[in-house]
Amino acid sequence: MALRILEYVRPKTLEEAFELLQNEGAEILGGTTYARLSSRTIKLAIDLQDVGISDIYEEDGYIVVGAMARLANMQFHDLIMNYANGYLYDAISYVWSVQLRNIATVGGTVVPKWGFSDFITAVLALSTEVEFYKAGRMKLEDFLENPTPRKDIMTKLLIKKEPRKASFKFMRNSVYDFSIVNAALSAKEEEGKLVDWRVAVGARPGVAALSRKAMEVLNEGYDDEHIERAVNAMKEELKFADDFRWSGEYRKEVAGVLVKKAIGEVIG
Amino acid sequence: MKIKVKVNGEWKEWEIDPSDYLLDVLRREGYLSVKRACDTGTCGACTVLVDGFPALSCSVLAATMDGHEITTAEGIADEMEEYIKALASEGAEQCGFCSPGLMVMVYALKKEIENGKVEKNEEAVKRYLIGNLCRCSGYLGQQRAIFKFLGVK
Repeated sequence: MALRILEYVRPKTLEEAFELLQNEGAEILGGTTYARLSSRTIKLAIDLQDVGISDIYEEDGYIVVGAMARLANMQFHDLIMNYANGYLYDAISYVWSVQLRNIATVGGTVVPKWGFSDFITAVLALSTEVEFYKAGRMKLEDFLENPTPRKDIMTKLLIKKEPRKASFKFMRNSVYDFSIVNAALSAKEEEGKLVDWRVAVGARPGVAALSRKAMEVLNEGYDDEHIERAVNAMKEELKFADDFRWSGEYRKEVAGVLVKKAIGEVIG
Repeated sequence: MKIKVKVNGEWKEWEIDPSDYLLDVLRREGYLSVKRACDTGTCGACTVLVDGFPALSCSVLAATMDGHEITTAEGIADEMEEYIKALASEGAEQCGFCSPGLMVMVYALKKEIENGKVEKNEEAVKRYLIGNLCRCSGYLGQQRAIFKFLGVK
């Protein structure tokens, strides 16, 4: 089992990278962490480290994270550490190990739509968008629910900087493992109320998805009765499947517990 | 293809295949502290510093390292003499296979604590080192040595 690369290039601009990508057998390299585990041949591997999409900054009310930013760069960036009471700092700190987070890139995590990802679940629970070089900007949920733009390059992840309270939960066999199921929630604080709830559940084992029905219920209210209804709505709406670790039925029950706990944390 | 990398402070020019991983190239060039164990990005035995930050050399393509700075355990051994002594005095070495990767991580952790990015307490230290597995499971000896070296009470 091995990854075979026939040719490696490091373009200097996005335009050059996009042109190279149009060649048959050309692929973008992310952080290369999971490529290690694959057995295939890449005719032309395109490394984006020099095209200028690694920075993290604030612009027009959004925290902008370049697709080539490492997860560790994002975790320790002041904009992230100070946003939503350090919610993303904390969620990212549970992604595998320090050494891996120094390699894995934001684009390399989001574009493949990894089902096991904690990161995708955590950012999906915020008002997040992604930007592609040609396809432009779209909501993260739209990107996840539709086919990936073909032969295109993700350039940015954009998190709307608004007053949100958020919580990320997971269940694992041990802390240093992949989540067997995870859940992330957030709500916007507006005039002393929590509005615009977002409920994301991942590792089902499919990629994270929003439970729009649960969000609808929580937007009506978040007393005990609404919380129960929201949890049940999430369990009915989202699909949970079996894999070698857990059954879909068990995942669904645990997801319900995680969502309930996360709602409690957001309400405070 | 050719790459230029600064290894332990010295620039090197190496001929590599685009499919080569950093771990394979470093070992081929004689940096034998960099160990191949799980080869899947899990155990941390292959940890090196890339531009000062710890990374898994088994999961980094060598081609992507052109122009970057790499530090292996050989490059920090002098600075880590006190840590090596602590390992010995706490009986923390068993087979020793995981020790170089762990030493690189402890070196990086010390810098992060000094920079205020990681707190100096038991939980933070354990969490930082979660990606370093010891196949002899000699964690308690290692823990004593690390806490002693870092001054964790």
